[in-house]
Amino acid sequence: MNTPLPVQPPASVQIRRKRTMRTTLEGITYLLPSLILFSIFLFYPMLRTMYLSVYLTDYQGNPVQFVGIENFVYLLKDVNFLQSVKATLLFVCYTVPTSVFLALCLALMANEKLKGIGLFRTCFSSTMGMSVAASSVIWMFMYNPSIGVINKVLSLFGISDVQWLLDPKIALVSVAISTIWMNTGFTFLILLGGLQNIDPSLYESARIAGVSYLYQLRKVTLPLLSPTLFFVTTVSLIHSFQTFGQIDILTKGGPMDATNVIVYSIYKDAFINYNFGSASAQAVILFFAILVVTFLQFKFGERKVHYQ
Amino acid sequence: MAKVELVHVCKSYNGKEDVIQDLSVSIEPGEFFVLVGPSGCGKSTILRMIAGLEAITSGELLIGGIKVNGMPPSERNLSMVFQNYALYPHLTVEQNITFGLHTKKISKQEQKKRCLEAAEMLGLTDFLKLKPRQLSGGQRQRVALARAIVTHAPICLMDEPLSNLDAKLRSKMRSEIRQLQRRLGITMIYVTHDQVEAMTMADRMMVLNEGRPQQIGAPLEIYNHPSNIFVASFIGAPPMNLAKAKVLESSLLFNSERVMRLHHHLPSSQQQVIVGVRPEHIRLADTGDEYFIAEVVNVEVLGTETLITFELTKTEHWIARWSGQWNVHVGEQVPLFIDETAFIFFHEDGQRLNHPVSSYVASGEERK
Ligand SMILES: Nc1ncnc2c1ncn2[C@@H]1O[C@H](COP(=O)(O)OP(=O)(O)OP(=O)(O)O)[C@@H](O)[C@H]1O
Ligand SMILES: [Mg+2]
Repeated sequence: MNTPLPVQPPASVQIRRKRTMRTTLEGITYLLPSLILFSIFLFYPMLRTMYLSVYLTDYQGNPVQFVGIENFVYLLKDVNFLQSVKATLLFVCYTVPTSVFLALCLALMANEKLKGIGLFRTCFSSTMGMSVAASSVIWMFMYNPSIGVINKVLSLFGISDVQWLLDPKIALVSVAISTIWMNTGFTFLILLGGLQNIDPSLYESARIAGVSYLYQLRKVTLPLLSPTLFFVTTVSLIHSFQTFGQIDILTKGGPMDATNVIVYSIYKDAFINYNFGSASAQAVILFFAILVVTFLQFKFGERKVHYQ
Repeated sequence: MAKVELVHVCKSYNGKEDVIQDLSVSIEPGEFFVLVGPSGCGKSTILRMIAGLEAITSGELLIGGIKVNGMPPSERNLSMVFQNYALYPHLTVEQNITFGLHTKKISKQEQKKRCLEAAEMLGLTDFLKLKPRQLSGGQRQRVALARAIVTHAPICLMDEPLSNLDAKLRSKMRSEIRQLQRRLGITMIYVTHDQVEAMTMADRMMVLNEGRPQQIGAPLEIYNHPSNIFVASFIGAPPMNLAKAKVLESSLLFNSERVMRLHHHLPSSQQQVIVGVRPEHIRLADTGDEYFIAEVVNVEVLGTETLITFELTKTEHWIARWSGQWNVHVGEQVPLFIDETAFIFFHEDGQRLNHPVSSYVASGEERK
């Protein structure tokens, strides 16, 4: 059995090589449209950002002087930037676990077979259909200290005049709450889909075995939902790091930079202060931060995921 | 061991038409009871009602003499094997087998012991640490069986447990399940659409059609004395030969083409009947038999037996089953003979007609 393979005659090697070339070309042709789009709107700006992050720039964003890692060094000493980092991390911690947990609870409820459950499913997922801008405006009105519905309700309980978006202590929480509300629809829908994918006979078997609801949740539902949960958490995490719209509309990074998350800070540096070099450096830092977090999540989170 | 009784049970999913109509049956302790019928006749529905997974619309379900209509599944003290096995993909075989035992206040040691016992019985000892996806279909099937065994429940329900297996494995598992049931002495309620499974496994079986019970009895009794043409054609492969006939004095007239003379066993009161004959009762005529000639239209030689399809009339074909290998050709004219006692008569509406000497027929057929 161990005889060496006969040496291929050169002609057939050439034919085979030609064929591989052909199939490779064919594959590339199919990929071309998305490759072009990605290159124009994703890869080029990314490389350009990295390039700019090591330069000082003028007001038009043209590189003037190569400064190496000076932009980064400056940023890491800058209190404003460190405040942005803190705000971003806090924001992620507020929004991701809460929205995933909330969506999970809603999905578990909406997965029950009850009359009229379709109505609730629609309600719970409806925030997915709203743009960030529209929902931010709604929340802005609700947060309004004098005419907002939230303060009206609170005043019934004797709590008055909470400055939702103006108090530096609670502004970030307020934005986080509205973000959770916006994210829930999408997360809920994906989780509900994951729940519906679980074979009902597994639950029937558990019913005959007579295990409690919590035991079933822990031992059957969550493990089988874990791929979906993992996906949803990863996406929410990335999404949360990149939050921009609601901050721009609700607080513009204020008050006292309390909600000045990195993406907003990049925006301000680049398009208000025209400091493209520093903005690019921040973008690069954000990129690597997300990369590292996602990588860590894959490395440690995925161990608990049961793919079927 | 526990007795399972259904008393005038009806089931309707949408509140309008009944999926199960007026079902009454009593399943004895330790019995292997098979529910058999074509797809969609409501077998699974009955099983799921007994398990408590589906509510009973009207009627009573008694287990061990106690009415259990509203009782949750876990308190009915039964186990169930699902068609797709319902194994938890993320748990090992061992965890799958012992799943839920803690609710029955069984100690960890006892769980382990029972698991090993069941694994031993079903030849799963080497696989206890594997996940279900690493097992073959037959092994998964055994895990599902083991899970039913470890509960030590006196009643076991199975919903087409063998339908995902290939033919060879199926016949092997058939006898394994049967032996297991005998050894453990459990009451088994087994659903299948395969009449061979029903015939070979059942102590008693119930044939269902469109939610109505057609006949309940021992497999041979049902085979030999089908109560209507549905049962006659559903049980047995190839099925019973059936044809409409006119009764003229002492002969049967098929489609005004073929006449068969009978001496004793004609149904007296009827003009139009449906005549049924099992394929094995149609044999090659010997000298002296009162034979009829028919043209062969198809021959299937199966090794141990030969199936010969012949023209009864221009439009109706019957099948004869001769044991052994026969060299018969298509188009040949063969002389055939049917023993008078083998004829079974049905009313035009499909119900069995009372045979004048049915007791004789019964003893005559059960001899072989
Ligand atoms: N959940 C349900 N809702 C509404 N109708 C149902 C439901 N389950 C079954 N039915 C109907 O009840 C009838 C009997 O179904 P059942 O599943 O009991 O058939 P079955 O005999 O098990 O068939 P099969 O051999 O294909 O499994 C079918 O006509 C089916 O359409
Ligand atoms: Mg079924």
